[in-house]
Amino acid sequence: MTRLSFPWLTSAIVLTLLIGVLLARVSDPSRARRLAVGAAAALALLGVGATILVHGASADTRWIDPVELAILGAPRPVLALDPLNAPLLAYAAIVVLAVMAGTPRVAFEPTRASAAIIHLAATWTLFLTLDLGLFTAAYVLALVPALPSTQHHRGPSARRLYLLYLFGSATMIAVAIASVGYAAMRAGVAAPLSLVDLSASTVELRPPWIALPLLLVGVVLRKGAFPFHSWIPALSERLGPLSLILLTAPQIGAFVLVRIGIPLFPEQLAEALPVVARIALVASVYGAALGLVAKTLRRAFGWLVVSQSALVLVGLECTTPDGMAGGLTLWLSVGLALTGLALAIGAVEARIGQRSLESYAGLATRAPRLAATFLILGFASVGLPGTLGFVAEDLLVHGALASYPGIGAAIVVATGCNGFTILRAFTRTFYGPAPSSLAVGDLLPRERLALVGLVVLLVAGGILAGPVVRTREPVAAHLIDRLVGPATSSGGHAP
Amino acid sequence: MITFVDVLEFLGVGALLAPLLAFFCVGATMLFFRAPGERFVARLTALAFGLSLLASIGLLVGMAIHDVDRISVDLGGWFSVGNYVFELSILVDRLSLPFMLLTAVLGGVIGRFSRSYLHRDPGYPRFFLLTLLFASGMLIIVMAGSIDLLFAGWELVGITSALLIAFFHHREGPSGNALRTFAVYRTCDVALLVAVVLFHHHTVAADYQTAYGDHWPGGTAPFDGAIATPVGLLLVLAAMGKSAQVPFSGWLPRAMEGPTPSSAIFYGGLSIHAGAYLLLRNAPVLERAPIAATALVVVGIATALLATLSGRAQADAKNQLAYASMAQVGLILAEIGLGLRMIALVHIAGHASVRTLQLLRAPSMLHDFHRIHAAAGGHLDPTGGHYEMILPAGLRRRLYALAIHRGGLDALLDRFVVGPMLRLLERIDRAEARWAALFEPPAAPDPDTVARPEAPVARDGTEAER
Repeated sequence: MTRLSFPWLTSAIVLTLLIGVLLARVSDPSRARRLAVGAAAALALLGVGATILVHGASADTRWIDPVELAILGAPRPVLALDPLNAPLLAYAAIVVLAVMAGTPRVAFEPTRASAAIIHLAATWTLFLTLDLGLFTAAYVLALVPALPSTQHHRGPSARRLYLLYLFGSATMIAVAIASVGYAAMRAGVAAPLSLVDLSASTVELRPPWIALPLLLVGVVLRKGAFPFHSWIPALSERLGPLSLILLTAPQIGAFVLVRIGIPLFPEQLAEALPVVARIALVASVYGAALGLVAKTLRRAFGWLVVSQSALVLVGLECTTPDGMAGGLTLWLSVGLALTGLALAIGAVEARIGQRSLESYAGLATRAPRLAATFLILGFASVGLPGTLGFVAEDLLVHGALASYPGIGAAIVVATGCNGFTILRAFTRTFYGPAPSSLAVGDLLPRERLALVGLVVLLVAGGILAGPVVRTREPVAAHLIDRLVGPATSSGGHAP
Repeated sequence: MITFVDVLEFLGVGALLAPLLAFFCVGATMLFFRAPGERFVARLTALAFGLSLLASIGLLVGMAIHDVDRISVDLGGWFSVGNYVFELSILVDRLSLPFMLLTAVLGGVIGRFSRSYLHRDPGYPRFFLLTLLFASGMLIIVMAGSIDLLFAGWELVGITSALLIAFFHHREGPSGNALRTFAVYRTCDVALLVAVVLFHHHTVAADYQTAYGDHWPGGTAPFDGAIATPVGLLLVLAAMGKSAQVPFSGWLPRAMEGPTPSSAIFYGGLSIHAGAYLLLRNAPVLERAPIAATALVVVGIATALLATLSGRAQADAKNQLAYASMAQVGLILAEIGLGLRMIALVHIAGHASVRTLQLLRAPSMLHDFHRIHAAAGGHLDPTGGHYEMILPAGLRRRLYALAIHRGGLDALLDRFVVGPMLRLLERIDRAEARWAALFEPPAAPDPDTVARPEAPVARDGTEAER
């Protein structure tokens, strides 16, 4: 446990929030883009620094931010860096950085950039906080900025779906946390919403029959796992892949599970996880199967997100180190690859409009680099050899088979179908006769930087897979310790 | 002190790395800068295959002189978690060395041939890039010390195969055929990956050397028949996809849409034999799984018969050669099923070389015929016709119809497997869309966002967006 000498974490979040609010008032899109890219890049650098700082540390080591909060209990630090969240901070910032840098100019609006930056600040808070109250506030805040964009003044709307599924998930999680806090308060815990105090408490303060089911439903809703997956393809079609990826790439549902679920309900989760794993697996296979018949590029992307994101949940529910580490690595690789793919789709739509997959567009002749990055990033999301995705899927399949025999085969079927969907989307978009009127260019330097940067990250992650996996291995071992040996620690576990 | 084995290990790594580095070099140039010139790409490809060939010959000579049966290079673990380690190990032995030599020789020949054949084709650098990636994938398959690493190469070969079938991408036909081929590959790849996972589940050994013990063609499976049978059957299924065996054979004639040099190296020379290599490498599993071995013999012979029949009814040279290739690979697989490993290996080497030559000569076939006929002093009689005359006329007609329809296998698969599955999925997808529309009916397509590009971008790449 180390106390940071300067409130780096609080300062970063507050500054980012301020920039996010300021962005909404900037009228010049170029200036707004520079500001947003600068903020995301600074956070990405800070996140990389944090990852280097925690490298090699044991999973229960924490670097505490000195700023304390005194709401509902004694003053206590609320933000801390640890080996679980440090790489995720860098990852979340890189996703937003790539989206801010690579979004086509016509699709770039200062208000949307503002929403993305506020979302990033909320995501950082959620990853860093040790306080359940702040966690809930950050969870809700992460959803609010994108709400106005769900109601398009002319195009399709997604507001009700967004409210039903995403705010539904927030409500479930808030009620679950409130019930935990209420039970802790009755039991006399000094800070009933502090994850540290709750973990240290030896009294029974968690009513699992209320909180756990609500928490799990909240997670499944946010993750878009079967049967609560319908919002993902619908939002992809109505809002576009870039809006969708900002919501789904941080894998906030999965984080709720590892940050709150496993520490607070280890015994119950150890029993419930096989069921949740199967639900996630059904989502993965179902999404992969429906991706095969998707009629538009946007819908195919939506099903791809459903399928590949569910695999992260499958990994997190493995009780083997390789499966769990595979899930944690997949978290990063799928997010980066799908972000790149969303950017590539955005670039396609900026050139030739939304694409149906029932005809050929012949874009490769005019935009060969866009075609190449689309293909590499698409296959990287389903485990292209040489990229980080291959490493993650290899670990996941091995681990899943050892945990739940039979699941490994289903994962392979899902990724097999997704690979076909990628090639189908690629050939229909980039191959075929090019219309003579097709007068568009290849990637602009800004787009190329974002897309090629993500390709380089994924390939470098694949080549240097050892160090990347090593950052996830202690976290995986720690989570499994909690799940497999909770009875020995009398109900108290470090968050 | 550098030992002789160190030199051989260095050569082994060099043989694999040469085309892989050339691929990265061409790929990075295309991605970061601009498409490189023809001369640069052709020379780099020639250099890569030349170095790979020299390293392979060095290994052959060195291993023969010093009577070394096997060189195993352990490059360490790629990544590891707990007890699981993904080993990067290279194995050069009596099985992999002939395939390495074939890859380097045929790759070099194809590179040289394509230099003239694809001159001034807009896809020139893309062709060489994919050929280098294919050769790297093929070398990973044949040099992998473990089945995990083999799978990585297997995937690369599948992807490059599909992309080269669709090489002439301005037409819809090649793209559709590439998709169909890829669908068969992915289906059968699932079988391979499940076999890999089962393999690991039932043995702690990560590499062939530990798993099978003895040098190839010897060795014993590390598990009993109850495990060997499903693993063997899955391996056979994986090989059937890659080697175009019935009922998955329909993709091979479609794959001939690709440029002739890629057809030659993929479907005459190397890729089509990858399934045979997989089964030869894991022959100890088949030995312990008689059901899988029998299935392999049946599939191989059935493929050979159907391919011979269909090949005789094809109207173009490339399709005839595709079926001839399929028939020979069917026989090779039957040989492997019967345990004739060395015969199968010799058969592969001979067949790959002859078929590559035939496919490369296919565009000049008329010229060749004229030359042969001129040299022979008149027309030569076509062969094989007298066998057909032995059959009754009715049977002949039925067989002809069967041959024309290529056994009707694609139609059967489409009608009874693919069609119903896709219809069911489409129905579910429509139900999904209706469910989402219950909450929020989708608005009518906005002409501003659907019909028109959102942001026109100038052809010269400058930001001409609105």
